[in-house]
Amino acid sequence: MSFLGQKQPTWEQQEQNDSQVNWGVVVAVIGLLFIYAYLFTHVADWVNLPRPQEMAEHFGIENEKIFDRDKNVDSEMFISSTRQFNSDDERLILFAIISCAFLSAYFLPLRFKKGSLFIWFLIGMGVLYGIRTTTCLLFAHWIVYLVLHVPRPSLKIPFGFLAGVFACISFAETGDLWIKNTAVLAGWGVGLCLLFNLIVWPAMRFNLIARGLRTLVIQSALITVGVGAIWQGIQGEAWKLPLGILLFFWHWERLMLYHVDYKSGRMPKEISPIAYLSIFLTPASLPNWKWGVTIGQGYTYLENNFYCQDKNRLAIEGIKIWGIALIYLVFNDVIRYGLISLFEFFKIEVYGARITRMVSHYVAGGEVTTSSVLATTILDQIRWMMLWGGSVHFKTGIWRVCGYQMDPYFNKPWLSTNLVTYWTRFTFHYREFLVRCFYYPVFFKYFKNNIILRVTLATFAAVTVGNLVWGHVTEGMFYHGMYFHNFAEVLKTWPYFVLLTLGITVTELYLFWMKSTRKPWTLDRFWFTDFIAMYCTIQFYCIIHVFAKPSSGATLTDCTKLFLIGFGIRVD
Amino acid sequence: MSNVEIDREKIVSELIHFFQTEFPNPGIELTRTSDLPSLFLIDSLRVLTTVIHLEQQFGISLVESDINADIFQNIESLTNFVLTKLSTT
Repeated sequence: MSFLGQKQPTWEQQEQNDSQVNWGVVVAVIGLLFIYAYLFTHVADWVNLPRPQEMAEHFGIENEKIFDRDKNVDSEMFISSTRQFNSDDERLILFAIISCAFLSAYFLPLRFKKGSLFIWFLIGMGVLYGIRTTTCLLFAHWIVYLVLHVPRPSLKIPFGFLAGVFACISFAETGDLWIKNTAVLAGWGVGLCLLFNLIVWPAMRFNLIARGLRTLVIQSALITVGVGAIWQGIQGEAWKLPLGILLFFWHWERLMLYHVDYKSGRMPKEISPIAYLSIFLTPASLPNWKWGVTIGQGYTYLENNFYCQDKNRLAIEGIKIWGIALIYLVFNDVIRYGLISLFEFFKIEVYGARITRMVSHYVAGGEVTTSSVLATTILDQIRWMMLWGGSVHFKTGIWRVCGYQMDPYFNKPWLSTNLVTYWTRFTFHYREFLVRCFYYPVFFKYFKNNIILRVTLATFAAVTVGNLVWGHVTEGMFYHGMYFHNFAEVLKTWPYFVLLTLGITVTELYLFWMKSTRKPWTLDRFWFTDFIAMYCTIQFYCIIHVFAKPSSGATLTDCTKLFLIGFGIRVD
Repeated sequence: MSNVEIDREKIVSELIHFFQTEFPNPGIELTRTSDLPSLFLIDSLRVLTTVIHLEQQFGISLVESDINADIFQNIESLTNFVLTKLSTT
């Protein structure tokens, strides 16, 4: 993983990287997808193979934590917020779409590759979510495209009309008569065409209005969340968003990164609709839509990483990470319950590896020991990481087999010997979002002559403000509904963000001034200090989650007391 | 040798000295074309340390868009960047 990313490859380099066909790699990718389909869907019945559980029992493997009732492997990979099919069928459709996307990206000429990925996304999305939700998502992105990339004069009328067509399919009530529907469609098309051509684009000639509109569409998710929460607080009625809009809002972090690239001049102001849409709407978005939403980042990251090396090497990297994802997906529960049993064997209560249960137990008057706090907070993070590991590594693998050198979301976080490295290794793409959208703007603007203030303020902007408001508040509202109560509940977790900011700031300043000539994990007499540093880093990150995951009824005082118990301090 | 060439040599040697002392990488010989992102600038903190050093040492001011692989690719590209900044300030 390189922090600075790749240098953008030239067209000639990309063509060179696309020149070799390796049938072994093609068979390996399709074969691995078949294994996924075999384990997580009903495909065994179709091809007359024993089901996964029967196969495992044949080899003497019996574990109730792995298989579900239909004798497939129980999976945390799913299609979010839709019920068009059952989970197994949804996954089968997903694997079929990924297979087609891979073959298109692998075999089509370079100039058609990105477009083909977008087309396969549309087909997959249409089947899994329905035409209306798909068009609604497309409509929202189309508006962003029209505001950020004002079309040339010859395209203004058709592009404006198309916005109306998308809006009509997304929001209008359909009738029985085709002639009536056609008239309604044309009406919406003309209406939005006029709106853009007579009001929006002419107004955008004024710089202030153009900047305001661009910010409005990019920040639409946060604005909606804020206004929706206040509205619910006053009126008592929570907004229900159309699913397509909600799915669009989940792209808010990537949209902000796209906007950063846009403002910095690192991308052309005029790009084709397919070039824009293929950044956000790819087959890698389809599984677990709401997890790891920052993977892929903005424009420059993807441009720099597309066909930047031989496509077979990229596909092999994809196969490798799919292998790791498979381990997470299959053995997640086995490892989790194994760890819980191990701690219980040593008489350390770990509350099912859930911090919220531990907090509830404490709030109800139960006794909690220091070892329990330390172990439960670590096990909860392991549980979360393994739950997410399967999904985010699978998403990363999709990008890779489709030609992008995508960095993993998690990159061996257990090798981190300080909080700065841990932050990078634990949630790479999300950290990039916080650094580029919040840290850099502050770091390059304020207190240039005072390192302590410069670093502290920049870290506070990213880790407390950006992370809390643009990360957790928005996410919490989309997960749990736009209620003022939810808004307030997320804000109550502020101590977690402040402690994380403090930890990262102190680490940054320490590393600025204390130069080390030694690489961590070198096999020498200091190896043990690396181990201690790694444990302290991870334990600190885990224990501050006492404030991030309080149970209902827990006060700040309760969480603080529990936090201090983790350090062996009891305050009664 | 022109003034620009003299300045260039000074900047190159200063940058090589900076990277070798700040981010020692035993066994790796740092040349003008060594790949900095993969050998020395492996994390954000090292990039920010370099930014602060460039600002303090050469009296130039960097902006967010300067943080990219084109500029920080190697000593040569970093030197060109410093020279460009110096000529415009």
